[in-house]
Amino acid sequence: MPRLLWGLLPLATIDVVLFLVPMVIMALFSLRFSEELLGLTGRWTVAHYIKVFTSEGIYLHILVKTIVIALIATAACLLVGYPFAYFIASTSRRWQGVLLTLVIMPFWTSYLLRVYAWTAILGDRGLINEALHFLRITDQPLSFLLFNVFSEIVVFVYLYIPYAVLAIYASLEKMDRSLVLAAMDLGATPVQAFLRVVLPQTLPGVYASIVFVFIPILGEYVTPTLVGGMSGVLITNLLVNQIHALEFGFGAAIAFVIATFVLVLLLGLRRSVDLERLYVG
Amino acid sequence: MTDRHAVLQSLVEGVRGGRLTRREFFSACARLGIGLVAASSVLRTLGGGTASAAALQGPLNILVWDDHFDEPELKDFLATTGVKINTSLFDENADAYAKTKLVGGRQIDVVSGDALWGPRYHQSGLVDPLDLSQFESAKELFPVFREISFWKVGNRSIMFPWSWAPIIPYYDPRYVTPFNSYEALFDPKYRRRIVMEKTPVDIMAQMGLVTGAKKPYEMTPAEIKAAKEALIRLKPNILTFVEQSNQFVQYFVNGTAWIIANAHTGLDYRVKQAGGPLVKPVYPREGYVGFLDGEMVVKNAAHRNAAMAWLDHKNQAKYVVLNFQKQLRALANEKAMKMLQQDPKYADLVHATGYDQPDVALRMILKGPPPGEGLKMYIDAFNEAIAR
Amino acid sequence: MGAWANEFLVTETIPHTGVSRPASRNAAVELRSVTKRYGDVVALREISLTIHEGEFFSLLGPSGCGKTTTLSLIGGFIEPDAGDIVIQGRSVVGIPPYRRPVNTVFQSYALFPHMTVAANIDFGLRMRGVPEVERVRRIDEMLGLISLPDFGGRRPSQLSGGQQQRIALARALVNHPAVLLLDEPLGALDLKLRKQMRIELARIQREVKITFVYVTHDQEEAMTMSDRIAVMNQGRVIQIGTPQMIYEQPVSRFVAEFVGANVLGGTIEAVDGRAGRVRLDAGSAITAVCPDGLLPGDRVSVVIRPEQAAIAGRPGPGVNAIPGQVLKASYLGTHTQVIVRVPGGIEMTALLAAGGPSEEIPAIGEETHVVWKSDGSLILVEEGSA
Ligand SMILES: Nc1ncnc2c1ncn2[C@@H]1O[C@H](COP(=O)(O)OP(=O)(O)OP(=O)(O)O)[C@@H](O)[C@H]1O
Ligand SMILES: [Mg+2]
Repeated sequence: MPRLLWGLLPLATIDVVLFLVPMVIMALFSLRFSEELLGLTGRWTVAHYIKVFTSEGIYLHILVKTIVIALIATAACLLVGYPFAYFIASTSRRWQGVLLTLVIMPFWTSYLLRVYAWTAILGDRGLINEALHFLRITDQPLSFLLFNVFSEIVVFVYLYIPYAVLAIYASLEKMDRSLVLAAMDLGATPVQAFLRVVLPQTLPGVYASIVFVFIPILGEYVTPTLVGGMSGVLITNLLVNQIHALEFGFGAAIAFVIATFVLVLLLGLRRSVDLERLYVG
Repeated sequence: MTDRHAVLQSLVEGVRGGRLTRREFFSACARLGIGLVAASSVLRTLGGGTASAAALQGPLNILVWDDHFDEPELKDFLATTGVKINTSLFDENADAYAKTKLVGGRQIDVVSGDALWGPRYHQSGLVDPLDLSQFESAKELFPVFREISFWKVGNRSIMFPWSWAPIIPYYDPRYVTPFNSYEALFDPKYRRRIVMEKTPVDIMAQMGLVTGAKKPYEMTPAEIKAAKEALIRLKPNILTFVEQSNQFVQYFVNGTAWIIANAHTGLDYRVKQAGGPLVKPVYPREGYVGFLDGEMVVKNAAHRNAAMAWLDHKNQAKYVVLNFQKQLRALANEKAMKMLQQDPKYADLVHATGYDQPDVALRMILKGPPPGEGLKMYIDAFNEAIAR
Repeated sequence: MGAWANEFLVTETIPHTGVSRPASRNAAVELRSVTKRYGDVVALREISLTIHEGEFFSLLGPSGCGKTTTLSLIGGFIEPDAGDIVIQGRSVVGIPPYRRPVNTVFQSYALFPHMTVAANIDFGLRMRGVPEVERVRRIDEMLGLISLPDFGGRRPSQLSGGQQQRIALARALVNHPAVLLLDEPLGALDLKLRKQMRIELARIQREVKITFVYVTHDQEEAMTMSDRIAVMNQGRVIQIGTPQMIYEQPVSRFVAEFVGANVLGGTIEAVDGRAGRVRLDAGSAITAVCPDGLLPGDRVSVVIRPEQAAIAGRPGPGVNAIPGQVLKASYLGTHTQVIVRVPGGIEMTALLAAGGPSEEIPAIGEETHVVWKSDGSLILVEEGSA
């Protein structure tokens, strides 16, 4: 519910303090042009932004591709995460504790390691291919499992689903369970009760999931690098290449275009959450 | 007290005049029973000609590649000089360059770099060229590495040379027919079978070799465009880029990759050690790129004397031998090479890595930053190719 | 109101489970030997109940006695472990709640917070596909019935507790259920509002003529509103009857105590026709109307309702009397309630009608007697001994 967003307020304050200054520096970089590597001096220019939108259209193309992939991964996280959160919320207190611990468990190991582990699952000599081979289902390894958009999305879903589950679980947990009984009492089938009562009640959790899943994926670098192969190149890969070549100005301009998009998205989401609050009263 | 001081003075003069190496100076100091603290206070007078010369005091700050040093020499250095070394690691030349430019000698005394980055550092006034004759361990170098032309400033060298390796294709002969040209990489039968390290500028340079660029690191816009087209053509055959070349081994071992397009020499040995197939190197007829690297002393380094002492220390053959045994690629130290040749365990490897053939290093097209707007164009082209 | 359509009649034939006797024509709900367990806890033990059509029926009992369980079984939120539940002549065992002709007013109201009042009331109609014109009409009718005509556009959170309660009622009633289940609907309201809502609820029930099954642990509430009451304890139904019967003819010490009567333990000394002499554990001997079959020496409970007890400093002959000390006396307008501690530490309550025989309000600490006529008390066989 909106209260969830209020709960984020202290975090948001820290964010502003810690990120505002670097943001300003980045903004300055994105508007400076320099002949030397690492141009700290130079003249004002919007050339970097023009370059983001020209350059054979590749940056826009990859940005759109990144957004589409992030959307697909977010949708998958919600589709898998929601029922799972629902299941957790419907179990007994003790089981909830156990299941939530399981959900959080991946965070105990290194993020890099977890992404890397997927090459050992999806690779030619990976778990799946070895199993298929062992069961004599295939004689050649299925090479389309790894190093493409597919494996990239699989890993995104794996990495970010705990956030979706936790956010949705929190909103389900807060919901008055008797509302479901009331809906069924009034003639709603379980599906109708879910769609008309549970889902609207937990929309804030869904919004929170989107914030926690979609936005980080836009900035993902490790996953496309390790499992995305040549077809899974995302906007951050291009950005990092520029930064490594000390093109801070251009890199910053790319980052700002992404950031602007995220900002618009957040404002849009906040508006719908505000609407929700009005709705609730 | 007075004559002690006189002895010290003469020692200092000895070092200045090049009659004594620093190491001899330190052992002399030790013999004199002078504590290291006293030594360093005296060393304040050891100017070496630079304006802000400092005494042999630490801690020494080095910005370094992780394959340029090992624990033993850090420990020994601390034991003999009392100077502690703070290491910070980096991957990309450009990163180290940016850092050095930002914080300079105040926070960085020694920085590692690739061959043609040396002149870039020097032109930007970031480093002081070294008089290699002042270093005892420089006498152990192959003579050719003491005379690298693009590092020469007068009779000084911008870098203290450390290691080198060609960057060449390797292939698994079980699946790949022997070849001697980059053209073979484009064969459709190698679809999703090539793995490369993600080094945008060097990959562009390699593509430049494919498309006949005259100077692969100084391509014209038209040549860059041709190289980009080549990379786009190659893309279907590339399975993935890896971030670190040490991941190559597993791709050969588990048979996922048939060709590694840009590996350092010695990969064959490492693959075999890891239980993989006997992969073969290719020195393509179009030429090959490679790296030659070393250390530079940052201008106005806060711990300049310690920096000089460290370079002399770490480049001793005994440490270089250790480094070779660990990293398995050629270095600039000839004495260490000879020691390794005596060791039956490493003799073959010395040859496989080209360590005994410094002329291979001289034939390499050396890694370096494309001049001026070039780097920008290389990266843009690389991005355009992989984003396609 | 007689034209209230009943969309809920389950039309397909449902195979009868258990009892084969058809439900009596005017029974709205029948529970036949229903047992419900939660793990080791037996929440209901072989409960049998018949609730008539149009009746205001209350389930009264202490916390944990199984009232909500009974209601949930009728509503279909849980299924019985044994026995049969029949609504309007058809067994509903195995029928999900959304297909039962029953609606519930929840203790927490369970109004949908993301919907307006009108949308809340509309919910059930929508689910059953009632045409729009009809829905609008019925919503207005309901808002009128609960005297909140202009509240359709509000959110539940913008309503007071009492208003929310009435919306919850309207939301259930608008569906014209065969049976309306109410689980302590007034529990969350303050006393004054609760009393007001009792009258309101009773009025509405009379108007719509729908069978109400009303759960409460407040005996006064049950007494004032119900046509009949089932008193429950520990998963069993102890007594079913009109409020008057329950009050005047409690079948057990538990019922008597629950409806607020004074209960004193004792032993039969002598039986003389309808009159029995009882030696109270407190010491005194009293006479009271005695049920058949009791013999001297039997353990009994003597029940004296507060309004039949009085206070007398010097009790006259022919009345029962126990000495005691006044603990508390409160003036209640029409009555004065006096609490007297009698030997054995038992506290007895006497309700003295204003203008009655003992006009003086006794002082606290005063030594006095609790007195009552011998036909003003009842002898019950003590549970577990007869
Ligand atoms: N879901 C459940 N799981 C286990 N035991 C339960 C469950 N629901 C009820 N019980 C037990 O069944 C018994 C009857 O519970 P019920 O809720 O019907 O009581 P009640 O009469 O409604 O009480 P109250 O007046 O406190 O609401 C109690 O002992 C209770 O602890
Ligand atoms: Mg209850």
